[in-house]
Amino acid sequence: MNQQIEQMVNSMMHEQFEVPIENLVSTAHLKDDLKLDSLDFVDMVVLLEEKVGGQMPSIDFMSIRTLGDVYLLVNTLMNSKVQKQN
Amino acid sequence: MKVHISGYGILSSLGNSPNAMFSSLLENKSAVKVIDEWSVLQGLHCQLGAPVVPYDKSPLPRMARRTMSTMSEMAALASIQALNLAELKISDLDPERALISMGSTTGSPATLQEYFQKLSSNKGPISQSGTAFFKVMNHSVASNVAVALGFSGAVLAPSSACATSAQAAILAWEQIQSGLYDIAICGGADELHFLSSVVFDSVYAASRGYHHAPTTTPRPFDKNRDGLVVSEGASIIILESDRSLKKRNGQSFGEFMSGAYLCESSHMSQSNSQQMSKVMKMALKRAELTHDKIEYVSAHATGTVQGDAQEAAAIGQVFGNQTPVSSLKAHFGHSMAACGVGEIIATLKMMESGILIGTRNLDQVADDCAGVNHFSGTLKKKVSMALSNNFAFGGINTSLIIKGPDVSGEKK
Repeated sequence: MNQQIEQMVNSMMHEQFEVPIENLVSTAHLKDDLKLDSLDFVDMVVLLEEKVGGQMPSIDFMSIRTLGDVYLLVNTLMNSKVQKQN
Repeated sequence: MKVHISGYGILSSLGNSPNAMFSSLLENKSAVKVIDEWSVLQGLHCQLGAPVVPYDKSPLPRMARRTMSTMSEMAALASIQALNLAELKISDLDPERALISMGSTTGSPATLQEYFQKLSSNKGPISQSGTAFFKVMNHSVASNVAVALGFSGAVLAPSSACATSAQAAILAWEQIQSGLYDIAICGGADELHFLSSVVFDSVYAASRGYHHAPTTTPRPFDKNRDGLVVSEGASIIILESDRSLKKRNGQSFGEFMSGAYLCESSHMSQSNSQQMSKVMKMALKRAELTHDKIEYVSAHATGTVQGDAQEAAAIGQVFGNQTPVSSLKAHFGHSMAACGVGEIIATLKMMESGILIGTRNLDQVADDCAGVNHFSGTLKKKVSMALSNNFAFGGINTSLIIKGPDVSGEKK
């Protein structure tokens, strides 16, 4: 996974959602390990869209369970942005 | 049935605990200052405010804070203070016999501003936060406090602008009097925002002439008063039935004797002394007291030309010219939804200390405010029964009566 994406997401998780840095591993479960819930997911998407500068495609929130899933989501967003630019 | 005040807490422009706040009052401090960031706002003539003393919000967990604007943060922290003083734990309360009764003038004005600015610039609801609504809903303060405390009883969110916390407390007193509830956490909160100043400025009710000397305004009852100054904060008291307090051997810090609210239905913003005197008389009647039993009147008097004169006339009609009368708005500023219960807490501290706090900035009593026993500075006087007024736009008039703690301070 793109290290830049991981850094961006981890920084957001720590600064905006107050998740301890040591808990930010790709296998961490968003709800059980990082104590985030559906309200946080909404704000997380808004923040990521602002950071990346695009809009997420239709999201199946139920499929986003781990921090690694968030990295993949951002990767998708960045790719879709690049495709649009091309 | 006796209803006790068994706890209280406050975050305010004069300090973030009842003791800190009262020390500031004893020192005759004013919290009013120029709010520099308001200077860019065209058409805002009153750029004065009285911000809360900076506070630590870390006792509130992130999951509670994320849906809070500052008014809810302050209300939650003041509620924690009140519960600690009362030696009450939320887990000890019977949810079927406990309630929260608290409100604010509106939902968070800062969040509303942010929401609509984003809506306008994005030409639609793109990028709106999922937590914004919980900061702007009318019952934001009450619900956020409930979530922060883990409270699962009844939640009421009365909202009547500057009479909000007084009305919330009176409503809670009525509920306990009815026998349906034993304990109520009640009060109000508001946050400082230019929109609050705009509300009063636009109807020429905010101070305009003292920017060169901010602490000399507002000037309740004074000849040279020219309007109010907005403030912020949260004020919370816990009301408790005699039965509950005795059962748990809790301490009473005073007794909530009665309260009343009536509507000044002839005008949305102009107060009327006849209606004001009616609500004071109704509070006396409900407490089964005659006017001569009241030893101090805490006036609402915000420093407006019209409101102060009407209130002075009303107090004169009910109490004559012997009962000491003062307003604390020149110290605190006008904390709107928080002021009613804030003034109850200040009055309890006056009763406890035997020192009454007079009206600051009252250099020369205006002719149209004469006829009552105004005082400034401090007055050494042991009082045990006080009446407190709060009035709001929308014609909401409230008056309530509190009795001081037993001198012995013994537990019930």
